Amino acid sequence: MSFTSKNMGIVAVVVVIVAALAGVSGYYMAPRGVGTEEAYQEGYDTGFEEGRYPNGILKVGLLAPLTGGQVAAGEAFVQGAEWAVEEINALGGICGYKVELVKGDTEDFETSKIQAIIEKLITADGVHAIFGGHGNIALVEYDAVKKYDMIFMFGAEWQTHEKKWTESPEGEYKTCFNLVSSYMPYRWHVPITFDKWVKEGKLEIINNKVAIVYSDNYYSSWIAEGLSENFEELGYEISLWEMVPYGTVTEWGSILAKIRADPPGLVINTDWMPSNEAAFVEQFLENPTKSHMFIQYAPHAPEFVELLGEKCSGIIYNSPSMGVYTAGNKVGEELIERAKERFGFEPYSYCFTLYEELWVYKQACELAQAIYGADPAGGREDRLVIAKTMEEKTAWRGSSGLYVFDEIHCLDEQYSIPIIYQLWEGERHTVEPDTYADAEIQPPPWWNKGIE
Amino acid sequence: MLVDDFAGILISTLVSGSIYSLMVIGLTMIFETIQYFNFAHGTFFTFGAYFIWYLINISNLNYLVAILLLLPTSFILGFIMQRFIVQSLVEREAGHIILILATFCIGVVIENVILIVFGGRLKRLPYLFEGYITFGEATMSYHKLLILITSTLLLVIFTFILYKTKRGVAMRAVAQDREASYLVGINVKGIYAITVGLSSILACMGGWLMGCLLFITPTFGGDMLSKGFIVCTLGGRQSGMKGSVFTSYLVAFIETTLMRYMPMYNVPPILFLIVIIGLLIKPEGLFVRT
Repeated sequence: MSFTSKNMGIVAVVVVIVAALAGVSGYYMAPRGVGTEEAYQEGYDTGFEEGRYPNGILKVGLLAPLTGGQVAAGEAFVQGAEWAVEEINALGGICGYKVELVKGDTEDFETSKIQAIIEKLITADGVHAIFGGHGNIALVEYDAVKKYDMIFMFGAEWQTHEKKWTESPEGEYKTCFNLVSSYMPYRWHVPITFDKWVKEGKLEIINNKVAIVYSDNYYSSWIAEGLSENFEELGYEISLWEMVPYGTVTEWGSILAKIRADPPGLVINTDWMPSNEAAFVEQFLENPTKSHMFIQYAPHAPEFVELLGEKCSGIIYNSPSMGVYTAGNKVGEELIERAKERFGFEPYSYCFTLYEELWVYKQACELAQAIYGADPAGGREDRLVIAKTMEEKTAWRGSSGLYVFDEIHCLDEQYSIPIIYQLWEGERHTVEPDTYADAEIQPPPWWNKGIE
Repeated sequence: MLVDDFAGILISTLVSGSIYSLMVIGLTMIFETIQYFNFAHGTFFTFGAYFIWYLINISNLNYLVAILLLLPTSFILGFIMQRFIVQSLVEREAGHIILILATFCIGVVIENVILIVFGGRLKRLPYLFEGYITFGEATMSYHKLLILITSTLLLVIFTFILYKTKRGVAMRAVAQDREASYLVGINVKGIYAITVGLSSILACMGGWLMGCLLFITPTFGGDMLSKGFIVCTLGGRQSGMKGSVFTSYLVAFIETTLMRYMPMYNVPPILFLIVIIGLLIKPEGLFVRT
């Protein structure tokens, strides 16, 4: 090619076109805002994340009923677990790992479903710990995790947990932990306190009869049996002892007819399902007797109180340890406020259970790593060390008191205080023990209806 | 005492029977006309409750307006399900099992859409009328009286539609003989869709009424569907409106009486035993003419 003007002109045009194309493509291919504050921040965040979690990802599993009849509880499990994971990761994760939550839908807690989900979480998803709120009444979860020595944390069914521990070879469930203290107070606290109130003249009763209704599941029947034994020991008569099928009960008319035919001083329903117990309360109020009423567990569900409103005034319920709702419980109050800020409403109490389970696990992992060099994402041996650390070293200030595990891996009851509440106009009042009481026990408002 | 017992049993029978009949008549109508058991029926029950909840609590509509809006909406829901989903399977002469599975799947989809949209948190519908009336020791809330009145009204309207209108006559004709109905120019496809539409009105209204008595969850129609299945089976899937109503109140009466005099826990197995005995005596159903 000769260097003529024409040729040089053509070359110049080609060069300009190529340069223009290079510039345009470079603009679109390069990271946005190269050299700008935006690019700096983007690179900073990516690098920061890599630097923040140098050990990578730590997967943990969550068993929750995401579909089926228990989905309200499942939502609370997810809320609590995700909340904890977010906060833990914001503070640097666990031992240099970013925590990632893998959910398993346990639907209606059917045994084979739970077993399959646990298998999947462990073998396919590669989780290093599994968490749950409540689940299968027989705690089949424990049997599913034990062959892997998988760390499993739960928050219910103390009576089944205790039975499994005492009836199995020692160490059978060494990696299973339950973030509840003994449920024994469910059996004795109300009888003793109720009798005390009557003898002190704080509470009037029409007679010493107690009507007990329970449902066909171990939790409900175990509590009902304990209440019955303890009331009888105190000289009360169990005037009604009625079992209902486990599941939805819409019509309580026949049982209430028996109660109305022989009105007792106290009516107890340990069915525990909020929908059933709400229907029971409403149908009772259609023609109430001059009885006190104790409802097991359901009033812990915010919806029970919100949706029944004033109708639940006068109802007595309890918990085996201080809960988030106990008057004067600053940790509980703060947790509720933060939850309301985050979710816009007060979540079901299991939200707090799952939240605290993950924080307790974090503490155990960090202690295990610091003292024994255990790796939370390690194998079986590391999990056993973490479990041992959780059993021996964990001491975490939670909403129910100091969380220290006892010899059966439940919360040590010496740090738990059983509480009795009474609902009044949509508010929960602590009425026992006196140290925490913010109100006196009151006769229920349905007594003012002029009933005999 | 006996009078009070009787009053209590009567009230519970009438209320439970009314709810069962709302559930069962719809199921029977579909089975007689289109020959399949609609497993999405329980989900329509749930839909009715959530629909009212949404209109009252989120859209802040007047309660009565919400109930009136439920009627056409529930009809459209059933109509669409039949016309655009199930009909293609009917035309391809898919077997009974395929139709059941299809409606089961539709039910699962609706249930999960409800779960995604509304979440799992328990909800409740307010009573339209608060308060109670008493009959001696027995009481009846105004809402239970409303259940009685509403279901009776709906049954009267549906009876009128079935026996006094052209569409109703056409529906009965299709139920009797589909081929002959084609021959005389009846729009069988349209009749199918209308039947399911009408049936879903009954289910959705039942859902609204029960949603005031119980907490609502995405699966709350499932238990009612099970009861509906028992009643349908005992009365006969082709027992017609009269048979469905009688069986509903019969089952409610047996259930209530048993619960009054024996432990509640024993009632379900005895009820099932009665159903089995009934079927052994008359396998096609108590109210089906052989």
